[in-house]
Amino acid sequence: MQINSIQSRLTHKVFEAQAAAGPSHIAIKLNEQDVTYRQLNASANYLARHLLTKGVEQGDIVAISMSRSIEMIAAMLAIHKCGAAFLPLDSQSPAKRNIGFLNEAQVKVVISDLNCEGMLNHERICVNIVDFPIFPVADEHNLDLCVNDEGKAYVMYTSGSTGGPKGVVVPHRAIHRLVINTNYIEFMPTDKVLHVSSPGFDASTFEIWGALLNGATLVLYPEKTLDPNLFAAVIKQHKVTILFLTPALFHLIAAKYSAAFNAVDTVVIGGDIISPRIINNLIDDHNDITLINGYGPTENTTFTTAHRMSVANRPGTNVPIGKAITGTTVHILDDEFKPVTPGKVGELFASGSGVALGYVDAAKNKNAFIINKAIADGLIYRTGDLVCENSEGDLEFVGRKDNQVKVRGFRMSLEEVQASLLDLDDVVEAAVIVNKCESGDQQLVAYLNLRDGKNLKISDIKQELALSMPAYMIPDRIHFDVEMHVNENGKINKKSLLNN
Amino acid sequence: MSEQELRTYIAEVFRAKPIMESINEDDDFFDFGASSLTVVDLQLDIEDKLGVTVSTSELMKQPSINGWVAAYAEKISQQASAA
Repeated sequence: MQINSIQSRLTHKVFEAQAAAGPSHIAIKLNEQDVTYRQLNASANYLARHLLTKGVEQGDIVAISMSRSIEMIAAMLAIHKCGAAFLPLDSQSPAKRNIGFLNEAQVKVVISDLNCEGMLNHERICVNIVDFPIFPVADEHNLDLCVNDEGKAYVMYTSGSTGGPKGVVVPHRAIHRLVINTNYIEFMPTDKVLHVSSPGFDASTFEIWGALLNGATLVLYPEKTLDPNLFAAVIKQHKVTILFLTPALFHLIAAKYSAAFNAVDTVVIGGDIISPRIINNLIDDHNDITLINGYGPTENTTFTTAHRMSVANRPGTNVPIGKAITGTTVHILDDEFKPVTPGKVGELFASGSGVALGYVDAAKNKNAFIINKAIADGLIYRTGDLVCENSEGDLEFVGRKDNQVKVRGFRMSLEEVQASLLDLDDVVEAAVIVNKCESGDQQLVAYLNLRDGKNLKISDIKQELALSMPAYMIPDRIHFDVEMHVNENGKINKKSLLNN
Repeated sequence: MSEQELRTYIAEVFRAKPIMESINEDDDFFDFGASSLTVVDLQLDIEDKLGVTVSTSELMKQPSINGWVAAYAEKISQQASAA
C-alpha cells in the first residue's frame, strides 16, 4: 500500500500498512483470545464509520472511558481513522475530575463500555460499545480522510506545577517518532509487547503503538489491579518480550519476584529514580536482559532520553537518564537560556518531533512551550527538570526546578494537594511533604492545623479529597496539630516537619 | 500451619512495615496509608513463606489482618482437600 508523505507518520495509516502486509498476524492477545491485524483493522473501520454517523468530525477530541480491552484499542484506531484525537479517561478517577476534562476538551462523544450517563449533557452523547458490538465484522475498506500528521492524535492529562491538571495535545508524528526507527529500542514483528499501563498514562503510548505500528503483537494485561502472580502468568503464557513498568513496581517485582522476568528480553522503566543496586541484581540473575531507563515528560511524548543497560553496560552509583532519543534534541540551559558548560547543572529543554502541540487550554502554554530560534527551530518544551551531563556523555537527573514532585511515578504538585487540604472546612494550616521510607517507598504526608476545638476524622478527610483528586494525590498519612516553622520567605519549613 | 500461626505470621509481616506498626487485627490498612504497592509488597512476603497464592484484587477487598487470615486460610484448606 502506498502512503503519501503527508500521511506517512499517521498512526492509523502505518497500522493499515501493517495490516495489509501481514493480515493474519496476531495484533492483540487477551487471555485465550487472538485478534489478527485484519480483524482489528476491519473492526476499527466499522466503528469509525459509526462514529462519523454520530457526528464525530476531523479535529474533534473523543473520550474513551473503557477498561483495557480489544475494543478499547479498536476505538483508538477508529478515532484516528475519523481524523479525531482520543482522550483516555480513568474510570476510577472522580467523576468531577473527568467531567472537567470533558468540558475543557469540548468532547461531544464518549465511547464507553459501561454506563456513562453521568458524563453526558445535551451536547455530549455516548457510544456504548456493549450495544454496538464490533467483533467480528468485515469492513476491509479503509476510510480515506485527508488527515495531516501534524494533527492531534491524543490528549492526556498531567498534573501541573501551578493550577490544575493540564491536557497535553500530542500529534501523530510524535507517536511515530517514539516507536519507529529509533535508537533506544527495536520492535520486531516477532515481539510480544505487554500493555499493562493505565491508558491515561503516557507509557501506554509506548506499549500500544510500539506493538501495532511495527507489526508486533500487543498482549493485554486482563485486570485493573496489578497482581504479581497474574503478571508473571501473563508474561509466561504469551511469551512477552518487551514491557514497561514504573520504578516503584519494577523495584518491588525485581526485588521479590524476579522470576517474573524470566523470558523477557527488554524491560523499560520510567517515571522516577531507579535503584542501580536492583538493576545490577536483576542483571546478575538474568544475563540476557536489557533494561532501559526511559525519561521524559508527557509534553515531549513519553520519552525524551533513554539509557540502555545490560550485562555489558551496568550502572554505577546511579542510573543515568541517558541520551536523547531519535527525533529529539536536548538543550541544557541556564536561566538566560544559554547552554551551560558541559558537566554543569542546567534545566533541560527539548526540541524536535516529539514536542506536543501544547495544552488544551492554550493559556497554560506560556513558559512551558516556547519559541526561541537561538535554541532550536520549532516549538521547544521546557521540562523544569535539572540535569547534568556525565563524563560518558549521558545525562543524569538532578531534580525538579520547582516544587513539583513524583510520588510512586505520578507527577504532582505539592501545592495543588496543599490547596485542596486548605479548601476543607476547619483546616487553617496545611503542609504536604514527600517522605522517603527506608524501603525506597515514598509517601505523601500531610500536616494539618484545625480551627480550635474542631476535630476531623482522617477517613472523612480522605473521602472529601477523593471527590476532587485522583487517589495518588491523596496523602497517605495525615498528622494534626503540629507546630509549623516558617522560614524567611514565609514558607513552611518542611524539614522541621520531618522531625515530628 | 495452624490458623493461630497463620494469624501471628501475617500480623508480624504487616507490623514490620513502619506505617503499620500499631495496626490492630480489624483495622483497615488503607487508613494507615497503605497503597496498592504496599499490598503487593505484603502479598509477596506472605506468599513466599506460605507457598499459596491469593489474587491481589481479593486481598484488596479484605483490607485487614483478619481479612487476609481468612483469605489465606481458605486457600490453604482448599489445597489440602484437593491434595
